[in-house]
Amino acid sequence: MKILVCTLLFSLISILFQTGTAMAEEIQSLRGSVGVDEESEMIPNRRTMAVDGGIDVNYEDQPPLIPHSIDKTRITLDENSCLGCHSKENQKITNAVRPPKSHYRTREGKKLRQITTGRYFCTQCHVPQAYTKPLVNNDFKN
Amino acid sequence: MKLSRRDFIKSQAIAAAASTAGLSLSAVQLVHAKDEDDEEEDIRWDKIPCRFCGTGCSVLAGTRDGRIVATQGDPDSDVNKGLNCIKGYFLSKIMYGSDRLTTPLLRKKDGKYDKEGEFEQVSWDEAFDVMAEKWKAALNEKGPSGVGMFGSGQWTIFEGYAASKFMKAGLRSNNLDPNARHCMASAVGGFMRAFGIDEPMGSYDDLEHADAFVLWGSNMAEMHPILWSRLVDTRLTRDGSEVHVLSTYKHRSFELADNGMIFEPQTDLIIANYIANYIIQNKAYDKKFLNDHVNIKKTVTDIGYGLRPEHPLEVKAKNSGKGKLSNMSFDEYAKAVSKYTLEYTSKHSKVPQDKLLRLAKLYADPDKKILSLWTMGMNQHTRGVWMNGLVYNIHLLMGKISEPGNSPFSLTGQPSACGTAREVGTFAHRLPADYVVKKPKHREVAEKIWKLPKGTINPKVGYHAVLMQRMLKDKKMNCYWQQCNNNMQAGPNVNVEILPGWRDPANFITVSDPYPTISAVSADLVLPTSMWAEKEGGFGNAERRTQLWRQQVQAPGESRSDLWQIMEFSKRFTVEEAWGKELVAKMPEYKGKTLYQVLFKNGQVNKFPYKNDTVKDQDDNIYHNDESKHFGYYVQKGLFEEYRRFQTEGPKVGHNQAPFDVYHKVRGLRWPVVDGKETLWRYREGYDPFVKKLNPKVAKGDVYFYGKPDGKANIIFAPYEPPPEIPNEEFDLWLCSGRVLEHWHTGSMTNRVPELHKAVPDALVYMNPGDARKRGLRNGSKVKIISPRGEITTRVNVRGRNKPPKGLVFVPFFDARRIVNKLVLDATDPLSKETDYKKCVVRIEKA
Repeated sequence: MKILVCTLLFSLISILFQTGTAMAEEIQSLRGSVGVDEESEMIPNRRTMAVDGGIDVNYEDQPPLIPHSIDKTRITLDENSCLGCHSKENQKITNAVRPPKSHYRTREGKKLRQITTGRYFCTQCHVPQAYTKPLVNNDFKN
Repeated sequence: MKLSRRDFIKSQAIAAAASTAGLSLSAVQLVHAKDEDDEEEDIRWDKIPCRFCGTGCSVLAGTRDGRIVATQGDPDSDVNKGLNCIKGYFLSKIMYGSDRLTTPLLRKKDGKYDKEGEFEQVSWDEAFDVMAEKWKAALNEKGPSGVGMFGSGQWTIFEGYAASKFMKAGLRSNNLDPNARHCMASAVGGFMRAFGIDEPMGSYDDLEHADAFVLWGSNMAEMHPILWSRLVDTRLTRDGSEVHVLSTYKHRSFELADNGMIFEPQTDLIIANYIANYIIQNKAYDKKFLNDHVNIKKTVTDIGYGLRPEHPLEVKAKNSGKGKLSNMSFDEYAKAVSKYTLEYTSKHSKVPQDKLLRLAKLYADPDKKILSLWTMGMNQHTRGVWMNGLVYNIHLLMGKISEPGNSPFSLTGQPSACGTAREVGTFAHRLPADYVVKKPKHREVAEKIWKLPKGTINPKVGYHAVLMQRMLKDKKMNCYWQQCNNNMQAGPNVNVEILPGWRDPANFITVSDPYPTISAVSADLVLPTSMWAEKEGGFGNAERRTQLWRQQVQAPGESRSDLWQIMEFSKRFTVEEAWGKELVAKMPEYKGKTLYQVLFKNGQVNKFPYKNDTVKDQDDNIYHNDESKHFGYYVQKGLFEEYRRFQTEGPKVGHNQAPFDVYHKVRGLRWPVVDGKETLWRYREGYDPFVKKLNPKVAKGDVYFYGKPDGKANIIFAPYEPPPEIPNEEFDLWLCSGRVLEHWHTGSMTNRVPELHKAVPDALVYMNPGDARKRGLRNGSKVKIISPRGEITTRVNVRGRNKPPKGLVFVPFFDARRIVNKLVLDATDPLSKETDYKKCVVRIEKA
């Protein structure tokens, strides 16, 4: 529900935004009305999104976004704390999202019991989200 | 390449797995799944290389009703085998930011162009009329040096080639440079000096063949994630495999490091020389290899920092900008590096002795196959060319080169820095296929292939990226056209050396871009540009792999590709205007013709017909090609086939690519391509067909460095020299700038993908907790970062992915609202002219 409200709010803002920029002479960069040689506004302190039930994906092969903070997770040579909840074995207890079968194959497609080492660093594809508005609306449709 | 929905799922198996594995699928997805069979007919899947980094992953783009509706990793690609990084997975959204530019925009007042006017929509005709008038005025007043074009390693091969032809043959100006100057020029310099041919000898296959990996100034985990995943795979599955990481701060690649080393900026020069010294002291070098395949040279020293000539540091430098090599005996070389002992190196680099020793032993072990990798840490360096050479020295001493797993490998930043900027030769000193403008024989080759009068190509090297900005500021160059990059955000010393020239009434600035970047809003004329899947294109990645794609969708509004823009603009000049009567008199048949007619409608580029306004592939899929439709012939094919002649019709060898049509059927091929076969390791008999051809007596499996006349590569000694700025009392910190995984360069695409923006919304300053405490700061504190050139504000991060040592801070450059390059000094490597974005001085205050 929260997401829905947010989405509506964003679309509203973007409609306002678009109306404002419809006249060609008002093209704005991502700095808005702040000139290149001027100082930008200070950024707010960001918080990471926490969403029960996950964040919707745009299309099937999009890696799901991480609906929680990962400030405390560590992926190193010795440990991968994401798998502490998400691995096939632990997921049954934690009820965290389980990696799909694609994650249990080698680069050549051979099946594995453990998650492939080629996908060891989860954050290459999965990232958390901050509570913030898009800088610009995106018109992508799936 | 038609993939049915069923084949597509079979080939990947991810989608099905997702639902069986209990992934929470959204409502939209469930509907999608139900309609699977109906949709099968609607979605056309086709291969296309990723728009972002130099890795060159292939993706499958799904198109329906003229829009990209999904993308996924291409399972048939050898580079990425179905995997993408987070940016790659969101490619489908990069074209759909709601602020796409859709018409040309010109600054006007009272219905006329006015530098101080507001942007108004104009037609392409009016845009090019005004632009041509300005360009002709500059050409008349200053000659060919009065105009310049700044392109990109993100241009397609065809765009770079057309730009090179337009500027170098058409306007006789070598003021053409790509943003790859900021990124790969030092690597090019290193290759040319050591091997005489550009680009790596090895291939990505080395990632599976190497025993050990050494990262010299590369954060692969974030910047080349798919190659990193292959490296990780090898490290975690191969017995005895190890990873060594060298950097000036701790980053994500250290998470896998067996031996992580943080060194004092610039002391990589000392470390590399120490390793050579260790190898020599322990007599570990390969004597036979050195005798047979290597010459030893030294380079001129005290060469300055590529600053303006009147800068005190340039005045002081004895050999400012010089790169001459002279011979050196092995004993002299041994003596030269003997200064770099373990103790000396540890003291200056601040890397503990045991770590340095472990690295040196690794290189000196004849049984370990080593892949050395580097990117911007080594290239964006005021001694970048030297540093590239010092790493080749180590590999050449040991003979660890040009074979599976033994590979010094310069990773490329951009998707076609190799394919376009380097191979096509869009640099101020270059022509296609490693030819250069200053050599008469090379100009002759170009003039013959391009059917130009003798003497058309200007022998004078043009302005490079940083010099262009200085020349604009000094009003020596008055017209500037920027395509496919955002130099106002990516160039160094923005407020002092870039912005003033752009806004000077003497100059006319044109920016072609899909989006209103800070470059676009700082220009006088903005041209809306088709991007990526909106045009037929070709990229060349870091392992010499050329990949082509077809136009998938139509660009919005009146957007046109860079290629269309260059070719169309060339119609505005007659040869008399561009060349002068004297040159035209040498080829009277060109009298009265336009540059377009001479350069593109020349019987070569327009050789291949384009019928029925569409292209069909072997599976009867139909694609549009807007440029070919407009000009009436298959433009991309004609350009590519003409370009290929440079690879076979001159004195330089070893650059062969396959015919154009082949590339539409394969997932890329690594050049040289001979008899349809690609080359994975160059210079070694058995792998590279040119070795035997050029040296029939070569022993089986032996190497022959045919880029040099005597078949030998160069070890080039270069000492440590200090950087131009060192932290002092007033500015007490090093600043290093760079990228983050989630954003591409200045973020003009990725900032418009909401998921990527929300993943990393702001450029924060990554800082050591001790340094923060000392200034009364903590995580999240508001700060001002001040350099002698400007200041920006942001917040502090002391717990993030980058963990600098005391005395250094890191700020990424993707954020248009916090332009870190305002702080950066425009010092370059004096040889490669590449800016050092990795070390300048700043101080940090509470904001």
